[in-house]
Amino acid sequence: MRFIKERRLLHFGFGGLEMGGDGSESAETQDKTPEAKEKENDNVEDPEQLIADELQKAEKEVDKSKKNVGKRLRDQADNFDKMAADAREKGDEQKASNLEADAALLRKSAASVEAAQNAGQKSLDDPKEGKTESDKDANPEKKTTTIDDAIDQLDDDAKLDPGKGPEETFNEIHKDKIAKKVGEQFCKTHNIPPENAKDVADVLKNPDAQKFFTELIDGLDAEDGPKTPEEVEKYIAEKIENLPPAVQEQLDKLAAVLDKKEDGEDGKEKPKKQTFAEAIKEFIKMFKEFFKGWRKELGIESTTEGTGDERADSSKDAYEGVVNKNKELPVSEVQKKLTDQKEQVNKNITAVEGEITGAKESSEKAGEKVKEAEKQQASLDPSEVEEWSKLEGQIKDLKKAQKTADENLKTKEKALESLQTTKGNIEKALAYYNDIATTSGGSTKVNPSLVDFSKTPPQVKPKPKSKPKPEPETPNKKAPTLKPKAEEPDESDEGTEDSSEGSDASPKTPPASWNVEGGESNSVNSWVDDQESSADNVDGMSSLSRDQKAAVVSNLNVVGKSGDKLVIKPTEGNNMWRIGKFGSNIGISMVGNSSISAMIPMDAPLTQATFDSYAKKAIEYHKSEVADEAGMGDGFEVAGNEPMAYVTLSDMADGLTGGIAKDSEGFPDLLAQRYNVVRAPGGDINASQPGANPEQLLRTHFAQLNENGVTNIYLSIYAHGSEGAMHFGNNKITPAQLTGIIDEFPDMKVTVNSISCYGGGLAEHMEQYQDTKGNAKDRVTVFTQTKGETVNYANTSTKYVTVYNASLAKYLAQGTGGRPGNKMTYGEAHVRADRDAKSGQLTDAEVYTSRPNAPSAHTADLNDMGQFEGMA
Amino acid sequence: MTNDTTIQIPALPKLPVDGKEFFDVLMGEIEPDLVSDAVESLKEKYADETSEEHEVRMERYRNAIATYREKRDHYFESMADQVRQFEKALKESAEGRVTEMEQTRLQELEDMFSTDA
Repeated sequence: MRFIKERRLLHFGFGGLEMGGDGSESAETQDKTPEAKEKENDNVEDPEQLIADELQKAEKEVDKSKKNVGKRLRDQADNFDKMAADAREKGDEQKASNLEADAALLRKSAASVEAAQNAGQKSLDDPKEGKTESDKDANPEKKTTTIDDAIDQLDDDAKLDPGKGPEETFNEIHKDKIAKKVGEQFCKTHNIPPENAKDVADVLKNPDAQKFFTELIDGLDAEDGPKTPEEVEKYIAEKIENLPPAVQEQLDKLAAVLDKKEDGEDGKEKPKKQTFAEAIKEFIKMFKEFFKGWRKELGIESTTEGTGDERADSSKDAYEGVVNKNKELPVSEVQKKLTDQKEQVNKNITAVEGEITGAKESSEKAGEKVKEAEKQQASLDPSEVEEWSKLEGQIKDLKKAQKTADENLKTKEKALESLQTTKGNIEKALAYYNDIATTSGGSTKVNPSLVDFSKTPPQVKPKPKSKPKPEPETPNKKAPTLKPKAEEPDESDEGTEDSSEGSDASPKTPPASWNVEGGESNSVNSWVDDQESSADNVDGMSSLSRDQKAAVVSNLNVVGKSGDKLVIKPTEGNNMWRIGKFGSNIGISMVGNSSISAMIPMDAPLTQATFDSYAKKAIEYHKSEVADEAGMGDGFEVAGNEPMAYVTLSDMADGLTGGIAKDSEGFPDLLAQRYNVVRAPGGDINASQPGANPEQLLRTHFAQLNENGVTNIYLSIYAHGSEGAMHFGNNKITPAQLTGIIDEFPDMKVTVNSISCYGGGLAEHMEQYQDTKGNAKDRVTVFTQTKGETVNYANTSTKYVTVYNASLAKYLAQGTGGRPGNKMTYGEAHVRADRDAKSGQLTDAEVYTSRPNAPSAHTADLNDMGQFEGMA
Repeated sequence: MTNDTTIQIPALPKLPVDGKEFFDVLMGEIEPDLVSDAVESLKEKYADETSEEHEVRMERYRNAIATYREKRDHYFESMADQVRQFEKALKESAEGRVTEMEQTRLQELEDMFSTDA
């Protein structure tokens, strides 16, 4: 908790620099007194002019007041944006999202104030001329680009029509004025004589040309869009070829204008062809920026209907553009594109989530209105026919509005789903290319179009051959029996590019690019240090609430106090136990041996009988485990020298399990310092995507590993659990499905480490599980971090981690990778991690190992108080 | 945990719709002749006045303009105060909002510290 408190203290300086100090206004926004000191017209003999002057002054003052209000709202919005960026950098997505939503609201409010402000100007100024020059002079604020300049100018020009909303005004203006301004700016930027601005504007005013440019913008901006001037030239030429003659004509006009380009200040003129392409591109971008920047200024961008859809479509298109790119590129370039896309998709997701919140509110409000009207109608006296019928009409309208609101919500939810799918796809592709970059270097050339990303894991598409080839077998239809290696299809490089040369019939080995280096890298050491710190800084139980204490005193045999914990005694025996709170549950730990502990579920009645039962069980588990330890310490290992694939199956959409998975990233590197660890592309399986099937995803990956000669898998499961399954949002995998997959690969040794509550049901299932397919004694080993009836906890005060996993890493690291201490076997490290977890967070790990055609053995087997031989 | 609330924007200062409205409201109470829509018809209205009457009317206008300007300046000084108050209230609201978010987040963190996996 110390961390949290410190964070609370450190976080703000709210009234600091960014927030404008003590609440008094900042210098830049100080209001000046009205322009009373100016020399004013006193000539009453010409009242028309006098009043015209007064009106102008009044307009300026009103305008200034409104601008001041708008500016303050915008300043606050800017502050929120900065804080949002800061929050996002610190990983607090929720806060970032809230701040951004607030910033949008503030801007909308500012736009609304400012739109009202301009409604009055028509009565004073010629609407055609506006008052741009004087305003520009009066407001010489940041003018960084020509686009900003023109936007500022348009901002004033645009809102001349009273009674029109920003969208309406925008639409009206963009037809004409934007075109004009773009034309002027374009000529200015390209040293084209200003009299040609009209020709440029004419191009923009043409609806067909607008459509063409809009599409062209998207194409040029696409991730896989043309990059070099030659590519741009070619791309534009292809697009122009199929244009309607009218647009062709407009473009010819534009080309003619560009021909009038004068030499720049440096006197050098670029080659004409290149200039044309570049100029067109810049022209289009300018056009687009105008639209976008100004729409944003007016607060239209985030509220337009269908925005969510557009975002979803553009994200999807951008992703497809990258993964279907038929060109050899350095993997680092593909990584960058995908990383940028991921960032963009995250932004889009945040924006659409904001829209959904708004849409939900609208939908709920509409529903409430319907209910209210129905209630009113129901309360009417039957004789009030007229009123009833009036309400009937209202209800009909309200229901219609509700339906529209519901449909809008559905559309946005669908867009969000699509964005999340795209995000998942990007992550999948990114993981694939990250793996290649990590193992083969960033300059390795890849051709994205040759990889089938619709498969999990992504697979290299069969290369086109002259003779027809049989369809590749899908590995997941039936339980596969291992195919003789010689019969493998000739794409022995499936899943990677760089093993393509090895297609002989020799025994398979995983591609070299899958190897995980287990060197003494700083990053592994740093990760291990973090884990140690997490393992060593566990708070244990906290004191009971007042009510809980009262219940303990009333129901249990309280014999004293230990610190802030009550000490109680069971009905039988002389041992004493501290009782406290752990999370929402009750924890007990034996005085003098905190590794004998138990967690009593919150819904269990807090009676002496309950306590007796849990205390007794804890002692029995402990005795059994003490006996088991001998067997564990004998040298249980998860792998010998053979390649062991490290695989994760995670719920990345969940903050907690996703956080744990992310903060466990160093674990495979640590394992690689002890074992021959390999990681195949797609080995980090995120099973939380809507509609994902964890069972299928895992099976496919196992098949890929199997096909590449891997016979040992270490599977980390980061997911919430119930007594019957491990859950990934709406998706799940049951223990039976998991062992079902393992049974499909009878030569595969599998070690499972699951953080799931209740062991995800694995404990109960493994008690019954018999390995009828394989014949090795401990082919399947399952580590659950809790007993079947209890929940697991994650310490999140420093890192997202379970005490068991942190301690396991700490002990596995000892004596390896150049670290001090005696190297432990995996079994020893587990035993110690189990002890730490028992005293640190009162969870009790268990191990199950399979036996051929017999129920598996497990630690803390109360029916077998002998040594746990399963792991020896 | 989600946070469904949004920042409470304090009441905006009561701003006139536009300068014309502002002028006409003020001037309407002082000298109806000088309201913007009426000023164009003054020549017609006073076509037959004598030079003395004209002088009296001009003096009335001078006084009216001075009174209007006094009221106008007072109004906008007061508006500047209102804007300052608005800024202060906005900052307070923003501070409250961020504190609220922070507290929600802290609560989440504290809950998550011992959250079921």
